[in-house]
Amino acid sequence: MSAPTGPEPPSLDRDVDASARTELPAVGLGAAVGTSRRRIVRRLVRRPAGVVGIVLTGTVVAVGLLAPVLAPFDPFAVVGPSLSPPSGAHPMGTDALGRDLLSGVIFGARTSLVVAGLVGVLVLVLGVVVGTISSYLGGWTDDLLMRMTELFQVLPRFFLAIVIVAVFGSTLPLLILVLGLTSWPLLARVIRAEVLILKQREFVDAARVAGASGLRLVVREILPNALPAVSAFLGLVLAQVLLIEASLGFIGLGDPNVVSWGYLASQAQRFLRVAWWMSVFPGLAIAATVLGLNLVSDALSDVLGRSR
Amino acid sequence: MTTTEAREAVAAHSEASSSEPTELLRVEDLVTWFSRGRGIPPVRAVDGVSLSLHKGEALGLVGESGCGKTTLARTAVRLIEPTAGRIWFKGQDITEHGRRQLAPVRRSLQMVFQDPYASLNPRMTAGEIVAQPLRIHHRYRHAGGRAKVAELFELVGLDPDHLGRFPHEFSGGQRQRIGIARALVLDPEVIVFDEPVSSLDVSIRAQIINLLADLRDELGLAYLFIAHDLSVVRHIADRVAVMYLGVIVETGERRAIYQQPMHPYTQALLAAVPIPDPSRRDRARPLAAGELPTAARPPSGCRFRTRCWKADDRCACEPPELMDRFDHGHPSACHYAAPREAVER
Amino acid sequence: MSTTAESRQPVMSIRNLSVCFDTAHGPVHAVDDVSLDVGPGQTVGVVGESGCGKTTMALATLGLLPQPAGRVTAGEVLVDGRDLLTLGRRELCRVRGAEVAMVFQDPMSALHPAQSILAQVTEAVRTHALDLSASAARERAVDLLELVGVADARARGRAYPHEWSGGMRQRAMIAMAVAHRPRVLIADEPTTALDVTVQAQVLELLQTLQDEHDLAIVLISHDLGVIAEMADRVVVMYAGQVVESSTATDVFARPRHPYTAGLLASLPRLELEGQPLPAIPGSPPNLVDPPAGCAFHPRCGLRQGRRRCVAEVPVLREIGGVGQCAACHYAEELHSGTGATAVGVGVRP
Repeated sequence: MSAPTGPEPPSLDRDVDASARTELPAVGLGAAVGTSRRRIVRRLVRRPAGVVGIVLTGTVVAVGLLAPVLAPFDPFAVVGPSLSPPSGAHPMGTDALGRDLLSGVIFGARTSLVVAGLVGVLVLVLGVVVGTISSYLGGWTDDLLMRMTELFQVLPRFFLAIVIVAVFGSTLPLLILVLGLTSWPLLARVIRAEVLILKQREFVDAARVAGASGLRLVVREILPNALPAVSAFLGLVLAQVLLIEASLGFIGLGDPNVVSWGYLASQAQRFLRVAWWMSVFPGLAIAATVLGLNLVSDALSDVLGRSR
Repeated sequence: MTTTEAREAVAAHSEASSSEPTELLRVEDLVTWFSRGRGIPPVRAVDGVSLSLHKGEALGLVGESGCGKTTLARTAVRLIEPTAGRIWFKGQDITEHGRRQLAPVRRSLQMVFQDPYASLNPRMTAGEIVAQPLRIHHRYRHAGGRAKVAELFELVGLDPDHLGRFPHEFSGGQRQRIGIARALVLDPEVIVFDEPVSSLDVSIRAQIINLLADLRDELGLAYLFIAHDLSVVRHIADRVAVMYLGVIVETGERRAIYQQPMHPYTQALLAAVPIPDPSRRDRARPLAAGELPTAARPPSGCRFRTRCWKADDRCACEPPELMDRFDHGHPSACHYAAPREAVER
Repeated sequence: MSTTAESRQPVMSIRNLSVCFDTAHGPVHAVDDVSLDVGPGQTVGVVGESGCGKTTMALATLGLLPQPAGRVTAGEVLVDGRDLLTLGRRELCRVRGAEVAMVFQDPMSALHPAQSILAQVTEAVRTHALDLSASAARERAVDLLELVGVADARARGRAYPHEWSGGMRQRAMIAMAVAHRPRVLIADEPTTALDVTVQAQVLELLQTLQDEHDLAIVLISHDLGVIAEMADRVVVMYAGQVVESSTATDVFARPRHPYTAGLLASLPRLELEGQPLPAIPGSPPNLVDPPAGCAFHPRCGLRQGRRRCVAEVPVLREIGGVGQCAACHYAEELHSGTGATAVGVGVRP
């Protein structure tokens, strides 16, 4: 109890999960315990919202990956009567051209996966690079990069996307590029804040005293400790990105050569009164995915916030 | 390093030491200020300190929080850039060395940190943490890799089977042992300890103090040992320097400091330490008034005068110099320095 | 003061208090059957390492356990014959501050960061004296701050907590605690966050307040020195239990439990300069899964392999003299030949 930090928890002979101790602040056992990946996952699945989020997101990912196996038909092939309601042969019904909606939704998951994945990578790379450089170097570099970040942050993403698609035509790679290039500022800010805190921690000093280079400090010491928090925010960013992508599809600015939930929903516009299934199923898919990502993000930031 | 003998008031027993090879670390007129922006006076954490550390020696640096002792240590190992002054390591001026030039110095000059929870990367295993300095210096294979790390684990009293565990799986005392093993892995000559036991439990503290004493005997290390706890310093250090508000107010052999403190601050500091013996409760003791002033605007003249019972006009205008006033190798920075029999513990 | 104080009726009695925390890994018995009495003008020191349950005990006394994880499973806390643990929220609030007050380790986190100190002390004054006018309460607050050694309190009280030093903040906390002349003050590590010179000042302040108001103090600390300077009686805790309870003189001169003896022996001191310290091996146990029998047995030098220490939980019993208690099967051996050297007792004069 000698000092504010205090705890002298159990001996090594008994390997007890330290998380038991974090719930006991009054006994003086609560401590800034480290967060190994396994423990984060374990705590994540302990909360219902986390489980639901993981199941929803996991399902979308699995469906997207296994789309060719799962889908009963080619989503663009005319396989049945037009506008037939859900039935045994077509569980989600068919569209105006007689295409199977279930197959459309399944392949739509794949599109969402590609968009989210590639935009995610872009955002992560840009966010980490800008955020880290900015906070690690500080000074005028920080000022410059942060003003640039703000510039990107105030761009109206949705309208920018509309304009670019309208000017350069609608292709999926272009869309991904636009969304990626406009979605990184939030992440860069989160990383900057994390790095600012982490670079003052004693273990970073310890590595510096050992002679570590700046690159090593960032890659080995700082970023691994910043990434869990970052992944929570990435989830939120991707949820927004998927909504924008769907919205663009819905107003007819999606890539017409690719099945996406937004595209499916846009096809439903003219038949809202006669074919409810055409709008409901793609809509549900979008809602479930966005909800899943949000739940995972929330649960993740709860878990991480508690353990630091 | 030849022009500086004159300033060597600090290193009591080292009048001619700057040319001797036994001197390992020396700081000269070291100043570290932290600027807080335009128009605001900087925090003068370290404000003109000279110290030297010799082979195999343990120098204790004591003072209260905010006196600048941690900043001094961090500046000495080049974690913080000094505002002025010079740092010498084994006769070499390392004040302006870049990272590459510092590499060989880093191998011989290591540091152990205060907080065993914050000083270990939570995402590395204990083995990786200890091996890291070797990897940084590209010596992991050469030094024997995993076997070398396991050897160090044993040296500091940890089970080598626990190499693969993460820091949170260890207790505070064990974590501090990991920190010590990390500092030892490059076979250094000097280790700077920044309050290594102050966040540990009482019963664990003695274990770590013993470990530090054993390591010093076995490996012939030199320690710069920073602490606010005078009884711990007394047990470890050969020589002690007392710091107050950025400057050193008294320095000398351990026995001299503890038994015949000259500076009123040292006397007050020693007297304030509670003694675990109820029968000694009513001993007479000088009490320093008030608290440490801000290091951004230190008092004029003697910095301790605002809390001192001896202070007068002279103390307000004339900063006392750190010098050997009674010719017994025990310099103090007080106009009215006088030995006072300390309360024995 | 101790002899007269002890013969008087205790102001507060903690009787067989047990506290349990529900955790993901099962119940943790943070405090296990702890009893202590504190009389007017008396200081009882509670000493132990982190996780020994001393803070939990203090929080439980005033119904401040973190909810819903912590609960009192047994025992009573008697003040004037009333059991605080059975009081309702409203009544408990009336007792807190007015009869039993508490001072915490970290004054910064106990103070409102965006309110001036004087305003907070005034607020504390008004909590239990609602009929007091605002200006009268303010006057009282100024008096209180001056009582705890804040010179020129009217002007300096306008400052915010971060503008005050740690020692001054702790003085303000003490001023609030004694605002209503409580009969008992529970001080949980009141000086741990302070420097030694300031610690000495704050301890002296507590001493003065006690002498003036016949205040009963429960002083919780990990620092044996602080306890020795302040306490009349000492309660030593280990793994949630009281292992020794005696007068301060007895505990420090002739400890009766090997843990107390070991702690004292391991303190750096003059006679041991240049020698290894007789350290207690191992670390304090994890309360999720405490050792069987005596909780201290894995680290004990007195045990010497005897089965009884593992098989049977030792009860607190009188050893040596009246009111000197220890919970050890073999406490008698501590000050005889082999036992003494086993725990390093002999080194102490």
